[in-house]
Amino acid sequence: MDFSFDPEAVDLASGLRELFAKSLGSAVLRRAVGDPTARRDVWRSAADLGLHSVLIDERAGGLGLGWEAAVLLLRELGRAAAPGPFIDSIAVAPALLQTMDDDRARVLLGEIASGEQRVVVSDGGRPLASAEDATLVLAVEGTRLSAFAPREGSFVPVPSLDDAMPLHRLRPGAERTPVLDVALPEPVIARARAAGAVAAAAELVGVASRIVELTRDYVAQREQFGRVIGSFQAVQHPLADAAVLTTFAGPVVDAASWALATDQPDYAVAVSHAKHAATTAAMTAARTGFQLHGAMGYTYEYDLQIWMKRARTLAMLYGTDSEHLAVLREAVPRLGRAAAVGGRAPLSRAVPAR
Amino acid sequence: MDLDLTAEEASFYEEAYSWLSAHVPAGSHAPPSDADAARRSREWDRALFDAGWSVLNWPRRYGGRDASLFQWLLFEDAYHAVDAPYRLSHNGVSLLAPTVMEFGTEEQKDEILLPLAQGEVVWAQAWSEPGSGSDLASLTSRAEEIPGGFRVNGRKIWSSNAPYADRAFGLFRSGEQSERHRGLTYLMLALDSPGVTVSPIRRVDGRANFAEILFEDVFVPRDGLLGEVGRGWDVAMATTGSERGFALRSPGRFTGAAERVLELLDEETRGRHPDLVDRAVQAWQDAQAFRLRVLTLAARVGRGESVGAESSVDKVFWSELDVRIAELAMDVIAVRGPEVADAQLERWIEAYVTALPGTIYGGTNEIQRNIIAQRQLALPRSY
Repeated sequence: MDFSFDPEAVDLASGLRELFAKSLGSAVLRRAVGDPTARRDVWRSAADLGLHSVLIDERAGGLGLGWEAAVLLLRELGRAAAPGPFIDSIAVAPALLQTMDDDRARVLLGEIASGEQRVVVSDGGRPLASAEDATLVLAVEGTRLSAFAPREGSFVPVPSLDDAMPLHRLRPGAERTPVLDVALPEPVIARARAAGAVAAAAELVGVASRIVELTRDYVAQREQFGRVIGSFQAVQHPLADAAVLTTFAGPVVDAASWALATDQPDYAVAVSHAKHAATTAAMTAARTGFQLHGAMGYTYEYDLQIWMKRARTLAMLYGTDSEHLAVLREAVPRLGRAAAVGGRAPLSRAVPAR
Repeated sequence: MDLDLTAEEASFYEEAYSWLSAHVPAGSHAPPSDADAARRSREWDRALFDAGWSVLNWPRRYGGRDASLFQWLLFEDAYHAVDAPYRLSHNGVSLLAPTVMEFGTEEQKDEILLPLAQGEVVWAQAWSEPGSGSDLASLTSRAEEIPGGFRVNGRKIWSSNAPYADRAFGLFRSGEQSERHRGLTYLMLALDSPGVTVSPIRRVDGRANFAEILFEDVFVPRDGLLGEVGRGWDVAMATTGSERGFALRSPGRFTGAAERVLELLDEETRGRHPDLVDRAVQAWQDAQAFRLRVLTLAARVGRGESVGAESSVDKVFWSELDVRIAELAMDVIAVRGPEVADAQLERWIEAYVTALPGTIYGGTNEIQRNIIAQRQLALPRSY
């Protein structure tokens, strides 16, 4: 039992944090809205660092560092509100493509690892984030997976709150020329969905911690009644509560990524717990941050909106909160102690089995 | 990262679980409220000690078995899985002992730690005063240096377990009142010393567990001093760090309680009361979150890091969870009918009575939120 991160993973994540601190400030994030070139620069610099290859095996051209690195890197993507189809490309696509013994899949994985392919994954009729940037669509329909390059008219826009990460759907019946069209086993699809949920949860933890910091910085300088408002308990306490939820969501997400990576029998429970805990932390931070910023937080000019909108959008993607709660509601009362992931001894005799 | 138990860890858990299942006595889950319960609690501590479980992560010299923090967490998991009772030694083990190990002389360690681990000497804390609760640094009970020791005068209150304890530890003013936290001294003293009066206070269920302690010209020998005169605040803060964190309330307590609530939700109840299911599932998740958070802290402690400064976050989380679980359990029992209620209700009333003060003691949760805001978020002192 060792709940700590590999130093190599930690170093890679701090490298990404430094990169974003230098190159992905507020001005760049704002320019990236509506400017595909700016978004591609972000994509390229992260790919050069190795971000896209952590979940891809070495024989397919990846780094193969696994979820231990991925979960930390995704947290940084959330902290930075990095625009682009990162979750689908880094986490979901490798889960779909890696299990099949197929040369075309291996080629695609190599291209994803290098950052050459920007992938969106369409899961039935669900919305896609950042589809405008995609060079490759992976469409899961039932148990079939097809891969094709998007073309004019492949997507229908969906009303979107987050203008830095606009949503689309795959246009039904739109023409496509698949480079790959295969049947996948149901467990592979389930694991790919779980990979998306864990990745979104990791981003949400990053979003939550960034909102807490932004709000902290604001209330530490804004003065009313002759003193900074951050000296009032009515301001400090809700922000402390958001920090508490964020602190406790982190290990839940990390443990879920381990459960998924090691294919634990009840990994789905851990994954749904992770998405729910991270959503709760990020939405609480967003509402608290918004309230404590006063009218300033309601403006487009102030940066809080970037992370508030990202929190709301990620909460709705990769399984809604309601869907993940449904998983937990079904599994947890049935499994009891056995639903716990990591560091627990198996059921003992005197603990009643259900 | 590897969240699986090693074979060695799994068999350690089995060993703890088997011993506990075979030896766990019937007993209250709340702190004792009569002399008989206190005596039984001491006997249970002694039995745990004799089998090597009382303070397993302490050095062998003081009655431990040099176990790791993680092994202690496994033991606690098993302890609550068998629903073992409250331990009277708990405050001494989790609050006083870490401070003695850090600040005590070799003589003090030899004298204090072993009897504490054996349940032979029971310790009560003496922090709060009638006029000093959240504002602890305003305390006025005095310790005056005299030849051979100290003369203590004043009044302490809300002293848990004091009616059944042998000794007490706490802070006393040795400098000027205006010095606030800089003029305090940490003393340990015998509650049967001349001039000490312990007046039990009945807690919310009508039973006496905590007390007011009156000190009238009490002589405390020099060896009752922990650390240096005037440095008591620093010494005490090491203790309150333990009180707030997982040392006082291990994750096993909450995972065990949440699992027990899930067991009370039979299929029929689940079908008829989806609101209770949702609350139970959330309580289970929160207990798991606390457990996973503590596992990350244990890994950091294993690497030699200090994690005490963050303990306010943990204290807020577990103390509020504790109350939610006990309230939920009573709500579940209420719909389960008499055959379940009559067997279960007493246990959960004990849990509720024990959980309630958690948001108050060790620094109220308002004070904890101030500390989070000021230390972790670097906000100014609050109003």
